[in-house]
Amino acid sequence: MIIPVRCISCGKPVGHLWEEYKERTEDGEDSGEVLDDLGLDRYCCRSLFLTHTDLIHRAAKFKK
Amino acid sequence: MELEKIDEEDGKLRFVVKDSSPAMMNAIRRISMNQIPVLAIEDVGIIENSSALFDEIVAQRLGQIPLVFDPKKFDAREECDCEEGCVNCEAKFTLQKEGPGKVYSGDIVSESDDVEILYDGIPITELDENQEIELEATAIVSIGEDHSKHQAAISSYQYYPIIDVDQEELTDDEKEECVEVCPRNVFEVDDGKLKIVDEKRCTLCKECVQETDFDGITVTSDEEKFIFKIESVSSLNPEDILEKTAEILDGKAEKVIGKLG
Repeated sequence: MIIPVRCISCGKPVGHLWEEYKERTEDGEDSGEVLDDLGLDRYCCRSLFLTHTDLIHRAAKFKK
Repeated sequence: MELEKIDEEDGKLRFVVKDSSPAMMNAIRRISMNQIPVLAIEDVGIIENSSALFDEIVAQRLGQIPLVFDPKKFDAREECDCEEGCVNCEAKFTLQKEGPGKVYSGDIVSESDDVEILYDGIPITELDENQEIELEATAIVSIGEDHSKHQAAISSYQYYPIIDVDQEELTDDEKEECVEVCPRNVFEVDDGKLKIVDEKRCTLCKECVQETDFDGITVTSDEEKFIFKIESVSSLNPEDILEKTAEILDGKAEKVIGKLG
């Protein structure tokens, strides 16, 4: 839906890193390296980013 | 108990503790995560929200945003002398935005000068055309035990590793294997000898011991020496968190002694 503000497992604030991550992986950078760069070294935070899909635009269409 | 700092970067502090026990380490760990007062948004009054997210979700997201504040200036709401909330126990915020576009934590306006939003780029919600959001929020100081949005840090500790290498017992191939198999790059081969670069990197996984069929190399742990990590997940810096932890632990110990008479 929308990236969580904090990591669901450990509580580290991660929301502000999502847009940079998305931009850089779409430009063809390796997602593992981007995650290292962003300082996300626990696997809870990493899986949150690797498995996230932004769907809020779709949901927004159904609400007027 | 003796502390020695290893390093500090990006709000992550590592230090070695000598002459202590797991019980003491766990007390520090739990207090630094659970008992430190941190400011976070608690009450949200929604005036208008036509975005795709429900009011409750918007409020929950607002609560998780880390806030910069002065810990000395804020009291817990229950301990404050006022009855309806004042500048000493509350911080007010407003947010107003019209679509289309994304709403970020940077769009929140703080009404007090000494309270700020730590990260400006946290997405709160997204607005389509003709959608808008308008709300008022109140932040209070509380502890991680009460709600995890008030958590100050993530702390962990491990035993200090003792790595013994018997150079005679190991073949050259086994030495190379040890360097390769270690996920934390503890070893290097120099001049035909297996050298330990930095034992503080070791997580006691014992991959190297298994690789050499359990002889020539032993990995054990010093049960009175620890590597402690504090990673701040709030606006407080890890050293201040450690100081506050010691203060709280001291207070708790005094309380127990007081009750014993």
